[in-house]
This record gives sequence, structure tokens and C-alpha cells, in this order.
Amino acid sequence: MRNELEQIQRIDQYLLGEIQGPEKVSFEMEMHSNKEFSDQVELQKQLMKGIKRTQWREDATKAYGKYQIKQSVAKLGMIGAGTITLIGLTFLLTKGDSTTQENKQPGTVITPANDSIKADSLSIYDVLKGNTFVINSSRDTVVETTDGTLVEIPKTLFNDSIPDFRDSVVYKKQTEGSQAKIYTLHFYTPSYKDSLKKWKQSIQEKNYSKTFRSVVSSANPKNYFKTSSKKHETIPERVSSKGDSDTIYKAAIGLNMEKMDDDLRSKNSKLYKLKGKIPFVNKASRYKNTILVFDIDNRNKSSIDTAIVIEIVDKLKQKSIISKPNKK
Amino acid sequence: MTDQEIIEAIRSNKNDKAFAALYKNFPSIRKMIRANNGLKEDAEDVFQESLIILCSKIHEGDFILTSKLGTFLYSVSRYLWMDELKRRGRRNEIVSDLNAFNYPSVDEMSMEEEYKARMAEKTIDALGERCKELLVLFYSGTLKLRDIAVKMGYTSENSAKNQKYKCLEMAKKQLKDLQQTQYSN
Repeated sequence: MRNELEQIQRIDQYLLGEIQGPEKVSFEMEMHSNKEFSDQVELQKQLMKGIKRTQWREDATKAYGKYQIKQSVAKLGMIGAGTITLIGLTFLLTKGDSTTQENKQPGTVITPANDSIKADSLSIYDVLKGNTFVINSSRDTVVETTDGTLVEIPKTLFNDSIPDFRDSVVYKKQTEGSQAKIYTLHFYTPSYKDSLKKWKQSIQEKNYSKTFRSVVSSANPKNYFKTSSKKHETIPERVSSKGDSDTIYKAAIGLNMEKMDDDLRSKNSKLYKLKGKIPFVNKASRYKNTILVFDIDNRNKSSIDTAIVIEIVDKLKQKSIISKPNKK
Repeated sequence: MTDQEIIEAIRSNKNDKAFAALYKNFPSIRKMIRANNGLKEDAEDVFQESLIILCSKIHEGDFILTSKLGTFLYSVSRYLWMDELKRRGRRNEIVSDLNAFNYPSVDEMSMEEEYKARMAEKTIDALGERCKELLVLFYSGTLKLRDIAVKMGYTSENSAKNQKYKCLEMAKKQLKDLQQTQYSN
């Protein structure tokens, strides 16, 4: 081992209390007599604090997410949940197909909602030639695009008070001649490592039922919060449909785990998790006539083919943990 | 959960339960910050920072509970927010209750230590994902080195250990640079 690394190792052992007796005495004497050495010890001590804080901050962010969800549930209550269902169905019956068709006209440009945001022009045709998913906005969902990209869409994305959306940039434009509003949410790929590691291990061990459970549990609303309110009993707590389990299973197996390990932020990543909230949708009623268009990584404009169009409907309320792309 | 149970949970790294209980104190702190020229987002940041300070105090072993945890968090948040306003040059805009109370235990809090810790955290955060994960796994103490090596796909414990030292070496260099830039400004 190089001298520098040996010194780091020695300091590390001291800070972890692994050095005792005469060795410890000599270490401390060196600290007192050698300023440079004691500076190195101090640096390493600070880093240890920094590492712990990183972990605590992650924990605190998760706790805040859960807290916010509880708050939203309390606010939305029964009326909110009912409204989403009703509006979703109304939209499906009256507007869904026609607006989607209208928006397939090429050349419509989505402009930034906020002038301060610089956006590349984007043809709505290009967006729509990707994948279309119909999902249930009250459920966590995993979707798989035609190129095998998996995207987890937590239901919290549709809540009105979810933290940490600052990484996302939103563009919107009401398409002429259409009542549908088109929104594009550009977002950064967040870390999704823990789940991935578990999945990877399960897959390597060919423990598919465990993999399945792991995927379902990561997409199961029950894991986010537990409410005593009866109104939420309509949200299924687990998926029992065989079809669903097969799909999830297949989706998980299809992951390119090696790529995931290297760098989740890389544009080659094949699994993304939508995160944050859509800041402009803060009332259930605003779901009306809304199509949400997701561009998977705004730093990778060429990935436009993997854009997903999500219509907010409740059609698949009971069964859609995974929704496959619509066949074109 | 009682305050003592929360402290024990944090001490044994069961932060999820502890934080969930502590977030009940968030509304009063948000109210205080919003009444003092802060946004909701400021309140979120400040409260999160106060949780981290609490963890840090508990783990450093010098935490003596002299008030309710809620009061402690309120005091720390208030202190942090005053400091932030000062930093933004808006100290004179404090309009309500920030000056009205005296919280000696918190006023003695060393902001310099806090800044140093933030800098170290920033350094860790800027490391590559793998280094960051390796270091967090190692120092969180929840997994043995052998398990970390398996989890992260290293061929042996030794190679995980070596990698850890290399990550620390890189982090030390970056932290030193950051400190020098900071103090030379």
C-alpha cells in the first residue's frame, strides 16, 4: 500500500477506536508534535462527520416525503379521491382519444412555462411517437417502454405537496384547437440504488419470487404510509393478478444491472424513477383534460423516443401496477 | 414515541421512526420561519438541518436532554434561521418572535463547526456514487465489511477496504481544496 494510503488507514483506525495501548499513545504524541499530521487527522474526522450527515439527510428527506404524503391525504380526504376518479373517468369517456389524436399533429412546439427557463423546441409529434401509457394516478406504477426502459412513477408525483421537485423543470403549452394541456416534465435521474441492489441480488440468486415481492413492495402504496381512513381501502394493498406478477417479473429480469451499477445518472441507465411533484397540479380538479408528457432525461435530448405520455385516468385502478406501452 | 425513545432510536440508527415522530414539530417551525420572511422551502431546509444537528449531538454523545425535543428543534431552527437571515444581510427584517426568546443552550451552538460539517458533507456528496455508497455503508456501521464487499461486488474484503481508503484520499484532497477556497475568500 502507498504511504499516503497507509497513513489514511492508520488515522481511520484511530478514529474508529481500533488503536489501543502504546500505539495509541504514540499516535497521539505524533499529533501533538506534528501539525501536518494533526491536520490530516482533523480532515479525516470532518469527513467521517460528513459521511454520517449524508446518511441522516437521506433519512430526513425520506421522512419528509412520508410526512407530506400524510398531510396531502389529510387535506384531500374523501372528496379529493372521489374527484380524481370521477374526473379521470369523465376525461376518458369524453376527451381521451380525441385529444391524443389531435396532438399527434406534427410541429406543435412546447414552449417553456417560465421565460427564465431555457428550453429546446420540441415537437409534440416527436414526443408522441414514443410510448403512451395509461396509468392510474392514485397508484404507484412501473412502466416499461418499448426499448426496455423501466420507469417507476410513484403516485406521489401527482400529489400537491411533495418535496424535492426543484430538480425538475416543467414546460407547458396549451395546444391550439385542443382542450388538452400538454406538460413536459424534465427531470434528473435520482439514485435508485438500494432497490436495484436488492433486485440484482435476487435475480442473480434466481430468487424470482423475492424479486417480484421486492418490485411490488417498492411500488406498493402501503409502503409509503398507512392510513386508518376507510376511504383509502379502495387502493389495493397488494397485487395478486398472475398477469401482473409475470409482467413485473419480466420487467425486473430485463434490467441491465451492470449499467445501473456504474452510474445511474448516465444516459445509458435503463431504470428511472420519477421523483418530485408536478408543481402546477395542486388541485385534483386540474387533472381534467390534462396529458402529462415525460421526457426521461433532459440532458439526453436524443432519448426523446423514450418519452412517455401519461393520461391521467382511473381506468386501471385495480390492476395497473405495470402498464405496457400501447401498441401503435 | 417518547423523547427518550426517539433519542434511543437515533442512537441505534433507526432514524425512520424517530424522524417520523419528530416531523410533528415541523408546522410550528414552518410558521415561525414564514412569519420571518422565510419561504416554505426555507422552513424545510432549516428543519432538516436541525434534525441533522440533533443526530450529530446524539451520536457525539454530548447530548443532554434539558428540554423537550420539540423545544430543542424549535430553538435550533430559530438559531439557524437567524443565522441564514444574517448571512443574507436581512437580519433587520426579523419581525416576530425570533428575538423574543432566549435559548441559551442553542445560542452557544458553534456555527463554525456547523459550517465545517456542511462542507465535509458537500465533499462526500460530490464524490462518485460508488465512493459515496461505500463510505456511507462503511461508516453507518450497519453492515460488516464482508457484506459490504459482497453487496458492492468487490472481489474481497481487502479490495473493498483499499477502495475505501482511496475514496477517503480523494475526499480529503477535495475537502482541503474546498476549505482553502472558502477561507481565502
